[in-house]
Amino acid sequence: MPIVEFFVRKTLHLMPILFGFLFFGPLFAQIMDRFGWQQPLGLSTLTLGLIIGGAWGILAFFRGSWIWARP
Amino acid sequence: MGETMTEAELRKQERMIARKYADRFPWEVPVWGLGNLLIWLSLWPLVFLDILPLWIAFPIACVNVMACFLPAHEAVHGMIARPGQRLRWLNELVGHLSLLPMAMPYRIQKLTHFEHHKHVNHPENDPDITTRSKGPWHAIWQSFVQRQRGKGGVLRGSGYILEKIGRSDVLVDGALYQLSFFASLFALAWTGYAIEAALLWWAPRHIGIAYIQFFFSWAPHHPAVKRGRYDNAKFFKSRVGNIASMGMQYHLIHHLHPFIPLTDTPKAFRELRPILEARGCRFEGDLK
Repeated sequence: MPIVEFFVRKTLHLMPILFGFLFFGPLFAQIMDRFGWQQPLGLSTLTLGLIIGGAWGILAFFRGSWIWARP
Repeated sequence: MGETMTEAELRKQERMIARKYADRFPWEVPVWGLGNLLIWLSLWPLVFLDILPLWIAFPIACVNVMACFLPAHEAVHGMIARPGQRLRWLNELVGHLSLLPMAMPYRIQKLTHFEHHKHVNHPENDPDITTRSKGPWHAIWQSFVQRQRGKGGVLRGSGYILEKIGRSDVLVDGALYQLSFFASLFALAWTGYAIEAALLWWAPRHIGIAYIQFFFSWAPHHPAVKRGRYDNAKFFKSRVGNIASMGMQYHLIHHLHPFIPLTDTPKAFRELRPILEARGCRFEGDLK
């Protein structure tokens, strides 16, 4: 069980980064697809989505907040 | 009436009136809790099969999240059935299931809510004190700020309270709910349904939590300073009406007598009003 607990704690700790890449990335890509943006900045929508979502997630992880303001 | 009554008479009269409302079976709670969940669940296939447009489903999902909290809150207080009663299973089922759109574990909600009742407006021991704010717009902003993780976490949040009362074991529920919630969002996103996941669950959950914190916690307790039995919450006239404000115009009735079903609190208020006035309760606006 300590291994499971370790895994769960680490996963939740890293969740902002995971969320940025695994949810915001494809979300932004699918929004761009919905608006018919093809190869924005010469990249695929998924690549750009992952860059924006992932960068936001990394920022949220280190900053402790998705909206800049901290509790 | 109240001015001529003694302390003991006031207490007796209040108890007598409150008791009249405490024994009704609140059939609306399971219907509301489970019905609301079914509506929210039905949105998913309806949207995936292009039967319902997403722009219609999104506001419905927001209402579902806003509406999912109160049936669970009624269950927390054993309104359907108390421990040991025949329908206790239904009480607990409604509690667990109705909170699913909010991805909130019932056991955590139950334990922290009891602490709220024990320590209303206490700066360290009331888990809801994090909603204390200067005004309505600040309260909405604070709702979003307070749910950010922060470098050290929100000290006065649920985790802190559960550890304080020696029930950190239920934090496992929180971890499982969070992992399941995020895993569902990730799976939906990578199978091409990110926008649907965002508008049926992720955004409605954030909007719903802000709404619930505003009306359920901030509005009735603001400015959340006084801690007496009769002044830790207030009676207020809401601009959006009683239903849209979650019935919280009469929230102090709930704190005084937690076994009165939510839908009966207006009636109980009207009958108890002379006693409440004699007790020096706060009234804001012309509440009927």
